[in-house]
Amino acid sequence: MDDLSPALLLGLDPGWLASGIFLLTYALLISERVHRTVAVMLGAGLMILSGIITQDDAFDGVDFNTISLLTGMMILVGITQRTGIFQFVAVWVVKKAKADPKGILVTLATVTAVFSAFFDNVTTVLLIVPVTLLIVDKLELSAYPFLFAEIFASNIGGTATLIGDPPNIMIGSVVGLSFADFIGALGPVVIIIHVAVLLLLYLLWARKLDSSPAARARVMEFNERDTIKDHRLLRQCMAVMAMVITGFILGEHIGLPSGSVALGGAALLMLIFTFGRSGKDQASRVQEILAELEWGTIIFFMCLFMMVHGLKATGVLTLIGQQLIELTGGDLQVTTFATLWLAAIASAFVDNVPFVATMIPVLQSTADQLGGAQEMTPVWWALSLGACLGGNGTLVGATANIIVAGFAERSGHAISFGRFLLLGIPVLLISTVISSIYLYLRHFA
Amino acid sequence: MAVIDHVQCSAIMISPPTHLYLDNTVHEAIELLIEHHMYNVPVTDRNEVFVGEISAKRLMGLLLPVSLSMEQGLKHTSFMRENLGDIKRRLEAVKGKPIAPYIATDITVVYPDSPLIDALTLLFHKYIRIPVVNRDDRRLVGGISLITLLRAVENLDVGSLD
Repeated sequence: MDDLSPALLLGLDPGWLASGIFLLTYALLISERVHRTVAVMLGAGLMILSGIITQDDAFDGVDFNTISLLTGMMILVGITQRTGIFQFVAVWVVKKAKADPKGILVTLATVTAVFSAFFDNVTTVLLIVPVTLLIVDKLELSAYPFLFAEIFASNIGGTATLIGDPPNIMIGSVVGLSFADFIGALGPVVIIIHVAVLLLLYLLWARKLDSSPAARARVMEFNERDTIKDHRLLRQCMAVMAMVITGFILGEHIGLPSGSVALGGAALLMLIFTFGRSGKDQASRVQEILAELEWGTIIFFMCLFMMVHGLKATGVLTLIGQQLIELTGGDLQVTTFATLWLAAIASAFVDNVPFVATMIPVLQSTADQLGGAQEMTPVWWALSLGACLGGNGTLVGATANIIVAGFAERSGHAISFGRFLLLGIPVLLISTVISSIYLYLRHFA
Repeated sequence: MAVIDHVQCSAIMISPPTHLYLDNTVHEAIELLIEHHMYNVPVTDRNEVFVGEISAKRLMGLLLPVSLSMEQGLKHTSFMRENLGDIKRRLEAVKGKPIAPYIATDITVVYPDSPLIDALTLLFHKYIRIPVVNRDDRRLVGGISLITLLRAVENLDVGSLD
């Protein structure tokens, strides 16, 4: 804090002031009385106005690789979803399961998990849940088992990759973990957890999942080919997505950051999407795609980085890191499991993005005591697993949960906080226990 | 000839307006829509206090699968197979129910003494028909639509215009 201006801080201790701003912002986030983007904008603004950091420092704190990756993936998803591929796959797997409700439960949940691993969870459930509701309506079944399965699957699937969930994007970007690192380290445990959760849901609901041959025949009449609205665009999207995934995998070997790969892919797909059209038509298409970007989320991330950077600059996060080390005795194994369970419990109740944004510098400050940056890799996997899987604990644990609950309510199948908790907590416990065993066997046995 | 911003809604509104009561059934609403070729009908309680509107869009939503009609529902559904029997079944399920749960309540109203230009602006931008309610007790007293306006303009004596 060499460039700290005491005059601007009104004589207050910068650490206390930054902590106060941070806690106030967190209180606003938890209370949900103020929109989360507005809350962090206020927090970041106060960090600068109070002189804790300068505007230039604040900009330096923004991880533009994360911002680029988020923005690039939003554009890729925005164009790809126009092709109807999500609905195609959903209807296709339902028919492959012969419209058997038990098979549909498993296949639709698995499709949700796979899509969530490569696209954002909210987009995935926005596109899969309406198809699910249509199918269960035709089968004359309760939508609850399917909706719960898809909520859990979206959070579990998103855990598997670098791009599946924002906490992973942040961890990967700051710590330097690649797409292949994530798939290799978290892919196997995610598959195990997905199977375990499906088994739980199956045991709970299998007896109720039965429908008449006539109802199943109605679903089998669906023609999945009619879901594809633009075959040419679909082929182009698939080609660009394949290039982007390849870029994520190979990028680490040639020093190409994931944010550049995603933005490059987005630029290429936008070029394909607009190429050969009149100037007016191009402007309209570009405007349409950019208007669909979640600007609120992008600004939220930027201001969050600025706010956390302010807190980091005062040394408060290092102090918290030292406290953590004292609690865990500097033991890597204990720190890993403490991080996993803390992240899982916290993420069930608060937004996992600000939580992870705060935890990253805290954990980074403990690297020396844990044997160096290389040694503490299990801690990062623990943070990722806890933060992503924690979202399944409560209805407010993840945005995708709230989106599905909204669909459920509008379709006459309201999911209350209490009802969700009855299943969410067991799923959270199962997931975290499996993650603990997995991390132990892989890194400490 | 009075300029338009000095004309009040009461000058051209249809009164009393055709309307439904909250406890009318979906079936009665459909009959009224068919009989009067209307696309939205104001709804009042039994004291004639305006509470909302039942629209053709809302009724259409009752006939379709909920995954289509709900907010953020499916936009492209050519893959599914629906027939008139499916629609009929959905209609039969709600026909005898009161319209209360299906009305829209966030409807902008005007008052008899509101400038007519306010109603015309709303008609141009958003609504097919604007309910006119008493300022003090919100009792429904009239309605203004494009047809109402055209009739009023048609009946004007051009020679009286200055």
